[in-house]
Amino acid sequence: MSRLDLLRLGDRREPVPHAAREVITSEPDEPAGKPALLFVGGDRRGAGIFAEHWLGHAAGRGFPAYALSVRGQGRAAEVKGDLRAWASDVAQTAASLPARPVIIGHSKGAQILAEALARYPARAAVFVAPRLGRLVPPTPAGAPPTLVVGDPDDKRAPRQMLEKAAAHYGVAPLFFQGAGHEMMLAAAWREPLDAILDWLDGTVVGE
Amino acid sequence: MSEGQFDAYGVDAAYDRGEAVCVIGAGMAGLLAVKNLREQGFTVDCYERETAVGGSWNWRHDRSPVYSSTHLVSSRTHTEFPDFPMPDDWPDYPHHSQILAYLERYTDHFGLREHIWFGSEISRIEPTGDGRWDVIVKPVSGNAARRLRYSAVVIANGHNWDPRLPSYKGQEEFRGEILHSSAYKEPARVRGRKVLVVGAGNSGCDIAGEIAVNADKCWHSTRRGYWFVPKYMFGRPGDQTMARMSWMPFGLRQKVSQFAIRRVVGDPRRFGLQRPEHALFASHPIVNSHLLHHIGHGTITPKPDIDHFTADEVHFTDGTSVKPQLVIMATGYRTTFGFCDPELLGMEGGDDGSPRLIGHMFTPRTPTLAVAGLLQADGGIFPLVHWQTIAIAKWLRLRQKDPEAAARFWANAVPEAGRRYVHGKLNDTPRHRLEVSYEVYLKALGQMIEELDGVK
Ligand SMILES: Cc1cc2nc3c(=O)[nH]c(=O)nc-3n(C[C@H](O)[C@H](O)[C@H](O)COP(=O)(O)OP(=O)(O)OC[C@H]3O[C@@H](n4cnc5c(N)ncnc54)[C@H](O)[C@@H]3O)c2cc1C
Repeated sequence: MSRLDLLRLGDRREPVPHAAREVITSEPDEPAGKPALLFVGGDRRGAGIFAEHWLGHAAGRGFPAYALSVRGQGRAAEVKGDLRAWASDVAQTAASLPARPVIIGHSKGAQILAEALARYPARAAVFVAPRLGRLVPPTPAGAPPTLVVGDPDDKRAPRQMLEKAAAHYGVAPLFFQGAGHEMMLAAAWREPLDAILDWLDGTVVGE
Repeated sequence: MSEGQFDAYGVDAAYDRGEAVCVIGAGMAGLLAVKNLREQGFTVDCYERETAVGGSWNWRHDRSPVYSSTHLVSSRTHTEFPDFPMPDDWPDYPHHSQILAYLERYTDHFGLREHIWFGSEISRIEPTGDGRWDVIVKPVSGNAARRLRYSAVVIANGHNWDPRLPSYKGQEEFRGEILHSSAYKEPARVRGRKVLVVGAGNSGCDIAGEIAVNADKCWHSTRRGYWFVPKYMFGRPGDQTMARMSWMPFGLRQKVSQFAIRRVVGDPRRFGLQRPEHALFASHPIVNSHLLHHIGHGTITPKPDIDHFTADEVHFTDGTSVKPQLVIMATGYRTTFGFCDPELLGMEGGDDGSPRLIGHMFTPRTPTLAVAGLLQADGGIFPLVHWQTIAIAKWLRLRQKDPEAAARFWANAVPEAGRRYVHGKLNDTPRHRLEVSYEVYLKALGQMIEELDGVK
């Protein structure tokens, strides 16, 4: 059973204070009427890993693409945070965009995404090689369409973990054998991203 | 949907909007209703008499109660919607123009504008007898009314726009100016004048503070003693400080806060004010840091309740009198639903009676009429109204999907009509009937939402 926490006593007692965030942007040349994508990573490299290939390619397919470094990551590394603060960074960034974005979380960034979904009704949620941790993820606001993507042979987010995450959100995982954990940096980076974008084209674009 | 589509329908034949839901008003509550009903898959037509969103917070609207220095009284993080945070670099107590900007951003971010008909006033709603509603929409300019049929109606018309004006003995003879606080906008209006502010609600105290620094003279008449909770306590917004004590049982929290406020703010009687006759939180405290400051500086002179007016004087119950040129009545608002029979909302005894609703939302008379935002709380009400509209949307969804489960839910809900959601005893004057205790009510809303989810 998911958590539905209306009171949010933690936030009422001690709201997450503002901290600098880093956002890397890649916009399509021509607006294509597609939703924005917001990428969230799970380690200190932050937004950088998405800037390598994925942001440009997504923009090329008509999706305004943003990658976020939450506090403690990338160029926002000075300020320390915890899961609640990182989730707040994601919700703050999503809410600052002109329209509702699709949020894509990778590895531990997927755990941040899961937490952020309770605070922000994403257009859709994509978990890439998710490492969700031991807590049961909270109930997402607004029931966004959800996709779970991973490499079944990835030691850091193995098949069992992908299946568990997918089951939690009531979907079936999409497997990319050999894509590895860091699939956005792999030689075959294009394949999983195209699959995600195809899914978005079919699910939320023009809805 | 294009404007032309309705031209063919006069007031007699209803244009059937099928399963669509009608929302009345595009203020904070109406916008939440549109967004959350759409999230549950409903087609929504929202009607707004003004030409813009924001309701009370839109200072351009005739009926807006905001004045130039209006800021939130609940802190930012205790006021923002639970799924759309206000920017975290905004101040603890944003200005009214920021709240309007926030509501406009919400509207555009979730693409709500295309579902709102501006400059359209709902003049009447009527049950059709089969659970559906006929709604008469009148353009604010022009008189070509249209009749449309909806599966449900959500009323979000606000309750801070119909001035409640008291009448004191001799008031008609008074030759000075009498203004309701809703008509007060700019300090320019009071410069060089002697002003009496009447009423100690949050608006009364706020306005008195603004007038104190702009008028020649400012008196402030209050009927009884109040608790003044400072905007900051122990270095944090007061509502945060209170939340940090929420592990304590209510009675203990009340005692500790009372003690702290007495220590920090002091005895109101020292300032010439009356002693609060009730315990803290028995009626919602006034969140105001500057009233006592102004009294201490002599820029506000406190006065008790008005006894009567003469041609140029106002006499108080303690026998003193003053000669104001302007009297501002910050005496609150009446709850008014001009477009429907009061009995539909369980109201009796005229306009001023408060509706008797289930969970402050549903009328026991009919399951397809709901009200959003009709409450006051000891905290920001935006989050409460968010969860209200989620509950309303889930309820209407359940009725469509599973009539049997819906019937069970309704049978359990109806006896709850009129229940109060408060800690201990709250003053039961009509003015206080809309009041809920934030935590008690939120818990009840959570239970209702879980029930609606569970019986799916
Ligand atoms: C001075 C002041 C300060 C406040 N400070 C706080 C605070 O700090 N925190 C907090 O949580 N709350 C505060 N409030 C409470 C505030 O009223 C609510 O927060 C909120 O703005 C009310 O929103 P609403 O949508 O219910 O009503 P409104 O904002 O009044 O909106 C109702 C809308 O419905 C429209 N309408 C009405 N009748 C019809 C009709 N028949 N047909 C079509 N359209 C119609 C109106 O034009 C209006 O746009 C404050 C209120 C005031 C007056």
